[in-house]
Amino acid sequence: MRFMIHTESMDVIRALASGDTSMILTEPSYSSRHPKIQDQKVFLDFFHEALEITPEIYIEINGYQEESNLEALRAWVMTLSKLPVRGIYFADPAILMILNDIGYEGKRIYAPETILTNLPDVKTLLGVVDRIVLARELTLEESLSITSQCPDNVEIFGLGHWLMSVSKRPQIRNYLKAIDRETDVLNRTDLRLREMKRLMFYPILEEKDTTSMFSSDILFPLEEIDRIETASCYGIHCDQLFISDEDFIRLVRALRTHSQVDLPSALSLSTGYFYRKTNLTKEENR
Amino acid sequence: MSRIELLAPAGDLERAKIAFDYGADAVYVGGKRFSLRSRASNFELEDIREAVHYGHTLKRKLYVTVNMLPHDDDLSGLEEYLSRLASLGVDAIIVASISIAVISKRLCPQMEVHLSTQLSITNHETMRFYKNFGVDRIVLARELDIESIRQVGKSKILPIEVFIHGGMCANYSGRCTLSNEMTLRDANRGGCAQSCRWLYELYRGKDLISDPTIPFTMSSKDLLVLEQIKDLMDAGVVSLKIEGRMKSAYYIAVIVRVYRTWIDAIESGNATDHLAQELKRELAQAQGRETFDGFLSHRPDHRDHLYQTKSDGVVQNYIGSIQVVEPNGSVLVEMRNNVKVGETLEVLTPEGLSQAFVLESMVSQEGIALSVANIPLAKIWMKVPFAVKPKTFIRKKGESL
Repeated sequence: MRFMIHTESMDVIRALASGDTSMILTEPSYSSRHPKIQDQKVFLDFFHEALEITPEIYIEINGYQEESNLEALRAWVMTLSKLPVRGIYFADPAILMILNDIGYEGKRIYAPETILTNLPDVKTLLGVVDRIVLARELTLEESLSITSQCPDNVEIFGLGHWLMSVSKRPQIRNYLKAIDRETDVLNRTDLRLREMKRLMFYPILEEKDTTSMFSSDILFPLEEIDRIETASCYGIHCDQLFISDEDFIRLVRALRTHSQVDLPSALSLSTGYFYRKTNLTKEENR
Repeated sequence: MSRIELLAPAGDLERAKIAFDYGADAVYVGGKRFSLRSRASNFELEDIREAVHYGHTLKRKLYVTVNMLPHDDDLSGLEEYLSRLASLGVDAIIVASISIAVISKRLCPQMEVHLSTQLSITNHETMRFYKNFGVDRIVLARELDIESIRQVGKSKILPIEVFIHGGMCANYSGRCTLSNEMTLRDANRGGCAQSCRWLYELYRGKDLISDPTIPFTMSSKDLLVLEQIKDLMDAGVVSLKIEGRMKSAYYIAVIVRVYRTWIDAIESGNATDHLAQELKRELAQAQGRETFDGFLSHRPDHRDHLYQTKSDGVVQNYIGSIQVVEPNGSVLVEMRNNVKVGETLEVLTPEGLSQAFVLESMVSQEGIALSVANIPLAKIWMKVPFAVKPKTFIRKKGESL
């Protein structure tokens, strides 16, 4: 099983590059969740620097693509497709259609965040892509049942604050405008929401075209990692967003070595949805 | 039938019939299984059969939502269910799961498959992808502006459907799990708790930057695009969809009748500014929230959210539905909101609004004379001074109507 590292830090890449690890770099023009890297030249420079450290690099294009951008998107995807990467992750099937049109030979991996929740959908889509990434809101049993029935073709989210929502509205800027307050919020990673009746602080990231909200806890399935490895899962995704370089490196190393010796103590770690079914009704919820 | 489809929601058989009666070309309903909001659905298969029959008699269509994103445990009985829907004459199912689309086309090729807005389809390349799986129609994401819809429509890869009225998600539909996280209710399996509409504090680092008197929320105004209907028709849209399977019969009657009137006026060349303003005032009679035009004209800004819990411009004139009509002009009304003797009322019918009349008396079912009726769901006898039919709606006369 591979560790699929989402990061914008060269120090993290240097620290974690190894045989069982791949880096996933999010391109900045047609994606969300890239607070540090904002333009194509910076991205390409970052990519080439990372390539000197490890050949195990994938590119992610995770946005929902606007019709008016398709021509420019196609040109950019062609540029990316010529880079020496292992494959391309995408959330919008438009990317797959472009990759197919240009005869892309790397791996095409569908990662739509929430909607891949069952084996028939996974099997159907594996007929047209090389691998898929499951939804985060599955239990461990549900996920491993699917990975074991599609060996080495399925990946799961395994470390980090998990994405809870994506909006095309500038939610924070709209709000600040409504209360007549001017504050710099774009691409900041220190914004948090606290629901009035809860104690948790949810990270929220406002970017040029989207606003994304994340879990308060960090998914960290240390006790489950053996089971995940033996269930034919191709890889687990480890997302650094909102986590410092040092803490993230320690968390990934702990998962790799199945050891809690060097865990950062200040973080709120959890098992996410692994043991939480989300099929309650309004009535059951009362 | 008009050249563009007006598609209305219904949460039970009565509301489906009302949607048809008030002018819907097609109605979409949810069954007890495999549907978002399925736990609130009152549609047994027999009800679906009757709704299909009622619609087909009027040369209209009935669609069934099979639009949950199922986990493996949810899938038992799916094939039998799809086959039953097809055997009942259901014209199309609305799905979000691609394997359900494929299974349905294999089992029941005559039943159309429409792909839900849950799949966030925003461009023609993505439509090209889904066309390979045999789907017949795409419900576009709500995040498109009118020019994007025009470009997607021009591609003619698949027929497109767009939302024109009703509640708006703050996030891309189908990509939001706020409800899962905060209440363990899966938004993609019909459990959405609308956590986006809750109130939050906003911090930057350790600093509170939200206003304690106006908390942060993602709560959206509702969609209302009456004035862009002609643009949508010209953009190649085949179906105009009203949101709201949980909405009341009165809401459905008002909204469907308004859009029916406006579409017919456009098609007959009688769509005037005066009529548009009149119809917008009529829409306001059934609105629960303030409205905006979604993403059609601009990316939503601060004016398009509901930061204060109190909504301006929302009227509550609806009194109740007429259940029984006696030959002497007495009508039995199932009450929803308060009314007093002496108030001026009117009746909403599929043909339009009645003349106004003053309520001169009310009597309870027990025969007691009332000056005020204020118990929801109570049944009250009233006198209406002209002929009316059951399944019409009585309300206080609006100021501008």
